[in-house]
Amino acid sequence: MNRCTAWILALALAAGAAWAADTATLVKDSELKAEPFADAKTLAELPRNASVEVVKRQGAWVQVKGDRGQGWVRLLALRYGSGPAASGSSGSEAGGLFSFLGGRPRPSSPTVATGVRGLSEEDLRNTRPNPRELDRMRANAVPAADARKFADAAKLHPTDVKYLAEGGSR
Amino acid sequence: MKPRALIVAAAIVAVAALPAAAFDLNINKLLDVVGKATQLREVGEAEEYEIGAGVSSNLLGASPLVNDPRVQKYVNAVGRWVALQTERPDLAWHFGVLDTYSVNAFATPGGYVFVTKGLVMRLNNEAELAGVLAHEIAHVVQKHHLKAIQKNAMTGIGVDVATMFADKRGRYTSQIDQVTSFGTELLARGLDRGDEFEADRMAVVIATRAGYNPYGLPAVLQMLEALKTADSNQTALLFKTHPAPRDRLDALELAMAPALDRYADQAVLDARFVQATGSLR
Repeated sequence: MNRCTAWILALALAAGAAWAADTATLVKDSELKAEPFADAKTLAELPRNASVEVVKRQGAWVQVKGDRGQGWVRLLALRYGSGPAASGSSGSEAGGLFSFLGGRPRPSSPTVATGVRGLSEEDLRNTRPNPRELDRMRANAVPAADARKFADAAKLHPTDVKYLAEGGSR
Repeated sequence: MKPRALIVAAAIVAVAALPAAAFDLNINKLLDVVGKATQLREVGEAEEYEIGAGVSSNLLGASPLVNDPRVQKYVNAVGRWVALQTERPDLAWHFGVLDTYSVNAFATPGGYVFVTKGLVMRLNNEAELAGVLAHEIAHVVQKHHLKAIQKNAMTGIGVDVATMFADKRGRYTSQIDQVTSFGTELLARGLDRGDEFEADRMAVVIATRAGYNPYGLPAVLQMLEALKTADSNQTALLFKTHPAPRDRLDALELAMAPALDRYADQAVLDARFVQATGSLR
């Protein structure tokens, strides 16, 4: 399956999911762009806290619909789910960006999780060593050569990218 | 506080009340302790690995691994590939999926990385898994836990400095239990917020280097933000030990754009992920 087909499939799956009509909030004043590029034509200036309907995602951009029409905003300018002041307005796990990154519909919560107490602070404080389980973990190690083959099989190619400065480089 | 630490504390109080000559004498002793503590800065890889193994064994005592070699191998393959893109490619990296519905991920010194079943089953693709693992890998590359343990030893809180450095040759391996115990405590207490933000910034780059879509980790943070109100039972420890997802997204937004835009069409690999982790759902 090539990348294009994968995206089409992902988007189709996302569109079919129950939460298709996601709303999101802008965390800063943003330009609504005609296309998913920084130098694309600006259609409108959207204010911080503006609510938009999410249409689809492409790369670092999300297509949105709102009072000022349809266009593209930067993916990280959006926040999904309920804000701190409006908790409870969105009961289920919001689809948000992740429904576009992968687009696999899935149950809104794990079936068995209800009422099961998970790994807590107390569990960590009262724990005892489990060397047998540690041995099992060691047995699962994957050698570097195998990891390279595994990456190769999915056409994952290493790229040279520099670490990011705090707050960005410009 | 342990008895020995109490004695040290009492000694410090006593020193303050003594005349100058005696004070000098005792300050030398105190400096000696600090001097030994700085020796800990040169923790070798073997010691780091031993500390990590001890903390990991404790973590596995609190939650065993998912009994599914296929899932474990898959996560190890993704993790090892991602770790190869860092400054510590040759560390003995180990990855494990913990059998708990809690949503969390952990790292210990020496390259032991854990992710819970509850988190993996909420992910959508390999790029998201790579983003989560890359965050933990970054903690190991930067030795965040090791530095926190050392810092703690320097100030004498939690770990008993007096006994920790009792060995005249400056070895501390005999005190490994105490270091391990504090290392485990750190998993419950969490790292500095700055370390978490740094691990996020590094993670998106490391995942991108490995050929994945840079937005895997941001996607997971979006999911966690939405989950925060929905399932507090399974996220309590995660949110206690990490900055709020919203703050982490804000910081990433500043750091990522526009440097990583050009990689935004890199692979997400949903099919391989779903196939390999299907048994968890």
